[in-house]
Amino acid sequence: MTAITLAVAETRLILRNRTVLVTAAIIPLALGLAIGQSNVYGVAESAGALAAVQLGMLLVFGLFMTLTMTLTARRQQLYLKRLRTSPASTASIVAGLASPLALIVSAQSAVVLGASAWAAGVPAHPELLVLAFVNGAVTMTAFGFLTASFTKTPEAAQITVLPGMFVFMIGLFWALVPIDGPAALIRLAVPGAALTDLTVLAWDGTEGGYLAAIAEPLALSTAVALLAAAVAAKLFRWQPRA
Amino acid sequence: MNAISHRPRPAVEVRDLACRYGAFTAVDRVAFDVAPGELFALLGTNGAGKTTTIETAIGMRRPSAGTVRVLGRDPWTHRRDLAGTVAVIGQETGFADDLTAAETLKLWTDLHRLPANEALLERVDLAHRAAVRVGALSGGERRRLDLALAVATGPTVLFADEPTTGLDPASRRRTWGLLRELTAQGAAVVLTTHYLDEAAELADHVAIMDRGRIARFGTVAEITASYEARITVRPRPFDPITLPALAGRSSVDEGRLTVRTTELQADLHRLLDWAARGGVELADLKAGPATLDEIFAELEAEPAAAVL
Repeated sequence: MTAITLAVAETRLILRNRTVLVTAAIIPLALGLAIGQSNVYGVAESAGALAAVQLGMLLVFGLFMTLTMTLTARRQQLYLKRLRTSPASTASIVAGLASPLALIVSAQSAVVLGASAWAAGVPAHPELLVLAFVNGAVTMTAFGFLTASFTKTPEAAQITVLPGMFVFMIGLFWALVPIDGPAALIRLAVPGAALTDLTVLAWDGTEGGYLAAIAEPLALSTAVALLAAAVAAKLFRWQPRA
Repeated sequence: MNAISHRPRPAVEVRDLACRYGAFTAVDRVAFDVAPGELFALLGTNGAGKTTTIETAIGMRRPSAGTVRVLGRDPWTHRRDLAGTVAVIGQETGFADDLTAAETLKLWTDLHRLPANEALLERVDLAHRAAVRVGALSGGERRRLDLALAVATGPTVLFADEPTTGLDPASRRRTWGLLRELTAQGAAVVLTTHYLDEAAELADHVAIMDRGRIARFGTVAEITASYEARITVRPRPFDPITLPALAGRSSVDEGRLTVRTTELQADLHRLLDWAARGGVELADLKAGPATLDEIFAELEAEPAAAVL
């Protein structure tokens, strides 16, 4: 209940701040649609690969980057400190702050992937798309809190998000390169790689057993997301450093 | 240890509290109790340790040593349990600038699962600003909104960190009225303030913090009575050699005579007699017990705080 209350307030704040609105809503959507357009020229290897890049970019820009900026701004305003003096639990504060952005990104994803499905055909396993999105969203939320923990100002966030962006994008694109053996397993542990893997499986279908194909990316990416969340919970500061 | 214990079953209990930031000790062995219905004022200069003490008491900081109990619970481990009954007015208001005053109040009451109460905005004279975004409110208006939020939850304990800073005289008096109402209803109030007249007006007990420690504690009357009374005057004409023998210590600074004395009435009588006999005008004559301002200034000038 308190998470919904906070989410409603956060949505109002996002809608009333033009910079955040553009960063969260306009840029990721335009980028996602632009990437989709590249399929017309046969740039992407498959519809699944294209969808993975679209989804990844939406999560990086719409969730990770915007969440880092807004968390830093809210902490600077001492809004987070005030929330900590309320009866709201840590979980509901986290959910309340992150869920509006996650909802915006999920709506953008629906638009962008819907357009791709219209152009290239529907995915073979749409439920895996949902899994990939949830997994990526949790990882990006954890990355957002983690990055905000060492970001002093919203302006500084434009720089401090770069390592997280690069790591996630390396994982995202590396997973498009076909490799086998232990290296493939290590690659899946890189944030973003499982998102690509699951999205490609969702769109292009699984070779061999369904469960066998999704078990590794799902298990490794969940472990990475939980680890990122645990580190973020340890390091996150609710008020500016004294 | 500068321990202070004056009430049974306190709402706030602070024992040997120490807070350190690396090698710097912000709060050093501080102890005090605040009973239900009592207003306790923490005074001190900037950096004296007042805000760190408050932040520890509201569970935002973990003590380096010592204990804090609010309503019998550790605020660090029971922050959420206490949040429904403990209200906080911080030095900074911590509002989201793009929410309106009414939305901010509603968010707060919703988080506490209380019915919306816009009448509170009237009580702090903000009803006409209900639809204005917090970022567009003046500093004083933000302080008043903060007060409305604190009162909205009907707290059992209120920590108010400089709640009247930036307020005009009328708003200060209104704030004083609300604080008095809360204590009359049985709430324990811990107030930090730079305004010594505010402490004198409101506080049942006062602690003066200096460099992390409590340097003086008691009622305002007890603290001022422990210092020498003051007589200040500008004698015209003034020849210090002609001054009568006084029980207190005299000092002269730019024509202003100051006498610190434990025999206020007798020394005042001697000065009046001296002036009458010598035809001396006693301009700007003031005589009375030491004020909190004077005590504060003396403590600041001391090399280290005397520990109770």
